[in-house]
Amino acid sequence: MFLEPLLWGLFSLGGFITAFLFPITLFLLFFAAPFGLWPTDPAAYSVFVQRWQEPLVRVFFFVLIGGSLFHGTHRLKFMLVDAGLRGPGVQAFLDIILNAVAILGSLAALYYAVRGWLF
Amino acid sequence: MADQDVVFRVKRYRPESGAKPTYQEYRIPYRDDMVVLDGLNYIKDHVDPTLAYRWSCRMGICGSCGANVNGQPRLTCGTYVRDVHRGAVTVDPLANFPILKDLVVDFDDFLTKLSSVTPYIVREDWGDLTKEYTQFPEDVEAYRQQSLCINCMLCYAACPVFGASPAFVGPAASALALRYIRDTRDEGADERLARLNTKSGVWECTFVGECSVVCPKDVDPAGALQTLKVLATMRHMRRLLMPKSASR
Repeated sequence: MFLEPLLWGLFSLGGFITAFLFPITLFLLFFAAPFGLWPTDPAAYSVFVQRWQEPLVRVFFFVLIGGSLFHGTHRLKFMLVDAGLRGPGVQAFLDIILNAVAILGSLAALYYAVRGWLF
Repeated sequence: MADQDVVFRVKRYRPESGAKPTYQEYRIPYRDDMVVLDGLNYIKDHVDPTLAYRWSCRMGICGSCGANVNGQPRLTCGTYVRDVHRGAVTVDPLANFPILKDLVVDFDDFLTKLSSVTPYIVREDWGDLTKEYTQFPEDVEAYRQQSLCINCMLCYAACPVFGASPAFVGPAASALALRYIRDTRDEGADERLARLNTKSGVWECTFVGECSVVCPKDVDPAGALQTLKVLATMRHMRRLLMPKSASR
């Protein structure tokens, strides 16, 4: 089965997530909250735990992590290929390793997203 | 009147001699309004009639006179010596193609790839050929940019992916495939996308973007390749999820 279009589709979708959602999330969690720009208690872990109970928040973090992983690993593969790591064997190895990282990372994110919610 | 000279370092390759390509230097009169092609023509006419290179229109339309000038793929008819002069003007044949002689390279591989994407309007039924196939201005605008391609192949010379993987269909053939896919008169999109949705098709492209940088007609082949990836992915997913209704 030819998987390149499917993997590129995830890379493309992940590009949108990485470009827009990731910086916003980083800003909110690591700058806005600690520096008092966001009206929340920066030390209140309980606030985050409370929000984590909402399905939309779980889906958001699953999509954020999974999309960023697929985008990042695909982009890393392109960079390594452009840097000279070429050849059918090398590229197949990169495909396996980097896609495995993205898939396993996404599965881990999915596990934590549904844990305590679906099971 | 020439009041100074310019040195041209030109790559020479004479296959009949069996020797490897070497550089030959020519000192010729400099004019402020001379383009690189003028320099080559001067060498050919006054210094060394054995120099071989392609050229035709001298106005950036035919796409024949492409060469690597000081390491950059350029049309020699549109490159002023004053813009590239750094002590000497070094002229090499276009990179990534086999050299036939001096600055003349073999384009057969490109022509095979170009024909593989059917760069013409494909229709099942041409209907009444005495009638016009009406297009609105926005229909023409959809493919106008890609239709400006003059097949000069500077994009192939600039593409590191094509250099490393010669099977790659490449930038110009992809841009021209998109030109016909976007044409409302055309019905051959599915066959073209089937050809491009392969390992040696659009998926070889790693979006380096040099093809669009060197394109003398602003065709933006890199953008065309990304659009084709979207179209190929949509076609692929439609065929996976809705095999019965999958068409254009």
